[in-house]
This record gives sequence, structure tokens and C-alpha cells, in this order.
Amino acid sequence: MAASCDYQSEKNSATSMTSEQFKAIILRHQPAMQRMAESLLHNEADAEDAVQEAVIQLWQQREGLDKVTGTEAYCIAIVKRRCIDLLRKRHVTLPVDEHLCDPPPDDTEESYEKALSMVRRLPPQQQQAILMKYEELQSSEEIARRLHISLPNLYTTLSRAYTTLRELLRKENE
Amino acid sequence: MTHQEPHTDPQVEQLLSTIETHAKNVRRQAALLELVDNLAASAKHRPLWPYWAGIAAAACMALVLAVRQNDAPQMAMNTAQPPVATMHEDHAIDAASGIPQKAAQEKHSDTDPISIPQPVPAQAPSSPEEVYAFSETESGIRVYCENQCNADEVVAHMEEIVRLSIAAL
Repeated sequence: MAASCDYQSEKNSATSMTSEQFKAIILRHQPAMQRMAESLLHNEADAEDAVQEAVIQLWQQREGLDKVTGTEAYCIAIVKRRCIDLLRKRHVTLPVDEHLCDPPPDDTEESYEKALSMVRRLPPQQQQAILMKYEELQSSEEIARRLHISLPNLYTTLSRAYTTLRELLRKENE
Repeated sequence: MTHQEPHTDPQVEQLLSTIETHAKNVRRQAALLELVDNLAASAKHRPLWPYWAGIAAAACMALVLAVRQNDAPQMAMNTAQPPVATMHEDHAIDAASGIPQKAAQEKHSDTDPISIPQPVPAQAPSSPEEVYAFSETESGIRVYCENQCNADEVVAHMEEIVRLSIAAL
């Protein structure tokens, strides 16, 4: 029994260590995996499902994952395979390498910080409305309720925020 | 719906899309981390009882095989039958003598009676208790035989049990 306990604790410690390393790899490559899935499936929810399936498959193969050189390419290849499986089930055919035509989206941490700093220069109510809509992904009704304004007033506030942002971007580019 | 959400220019859309994509990715990453935690937890708490059940099942099977091996001579005595020749064997020609093999075997058997296997009578139990014990042993093996042997062998075993029981009574 002692032997089985030792075996179990050894197994647990090995698993936890691997899971932390595994999490780091997934966090690092998740944006690229999501991008690949969305470019192939053209649907955010399906892309999320494909990435989750890919993560499960990667977890099952995690023992050899640290030996892989170029983990991002490997993770993306797994996602691509899951997407192709999904498309095959739906009898959908895609032109070869269609995803290569898509421009790479600007979703780096640097561009996010830049966009956020731009939004923080807006007046308080406009700033709140924009952040609730795009950062917290709230519905218009929920934002209006939280800001204690009517829906038409929210649209006016958002419209003003867009105009202010356009002006800020124009000044930035000059 | 009289009020529509205002449209923006491409640059502003790009900026807001960056914030939106980041927010969505943060949520997706949280979901993926939760998924990994669940996978790790299921790997940690995988029960050990299937391993022990497997070992126990293997031990039981070894025991059954050992018992069956010990009883095998007695079963062989009970079920020994002379070989049945096929039509093909009946008409096969013996290369040495040039006569059909069956005829050659019959000819040979006149001089060497040991070459023909004779059914060996089973040792009949002498008391009702022995009959009961014998039947119990056979019933235990019967379950195994039903899975391992063909139906004819099982029927032969059962017929032998009935015959020995009648003889003992």
C-alpha cells in the first residue's frame, strides 16, 4: 500500500509540473491557434471548439511536447488538423491554403496597450461605454442599465466616442 | 428599432477590434486553463481499483486453470472416445503396402491390439456423497467449459455425470 501511495504522489508531482509547463505553452500560442481556427472555420464558436479539442489532443501528447522544436508550429498544425476534420464532417471543401490570403490580425500585446491608452484619453462616460462594450463584451442594454442612461443616449455617447477616437488617431498619425 | 449603433471609420474599427479580440482571448485562455486543470485533476484522481481488479481477475483465472489442469486426467478418462475416421482417410492409399489405409490399419490391428485406442471406463463413485462431490466439481468446470469448449464436449460431460450417478444409486 505504501508503494502505491509513493507511486501516486510521484505521479501527482510529475503531472502538476507538466501541467504548469503545458499551461505556459498553451497561453503563449493560444492567439495564433485561435487565428488559424477562425481563418479556416469562419466562425468564432467553432474555432474555440476546435482549439479546445486541439488542447485536449496536445495534453494527451504532452510527454513529448517539450522535445518538439517549434511548439507554435506544432500547436497550429494540430489545430489545423482538427479544423479539417470538422470541415470534413460537414462535407465542406476549402481552397488549398486559403488562410494564407488572410492578413495577420493586429492582436499583439503592444497594439492592445496602444489601443487601450487611446481609449483612456476619452471623457469618462465615453471611456466607460467603450470599455464595457469592447473590453467587458457587455450588451448595449446592459451598458445602458449600468450607466443609468437610455439606449438612444448610449448610442449618442458611443458615436461621440468614435468621433473623438478618430480625431485622436488623426492627430497621432500627423 | 429607430436607433442604430453608429458606424465608425476603419482605423477606429481596427483599434476597437484590437481591444475586443484581446478581451475575447483572455476569456478563451481562462477557459483553456480551466480545461487543462480539469484534465490534470482527472489524471491525478484516476482510481487505482481497476488495476487491483485486473490483478484479482488474473489470479482467479490462474486458479481456475490450475484446478482444471489437476482435473484434466479424470476428465480425459471420462470423455475418451475412439477416433472417428473420415471418408478421406477411409479411401487413402497406404504408400508402403499399396492398399487403402483403413484396411491396412485393420490388418495391423489384428497383430497389435494396443494401437487401437479403447475407451477407458470412468471410475464410478461408490457413495452418494462421492457422486455429489463429483457432480459439484463437474458443475464448476461446466461453467468454464461452456466458454472454452464446444457444446458437444459439455453435453458429453453432463451425460457422463448422469450415467455415473445412476450407476452409484
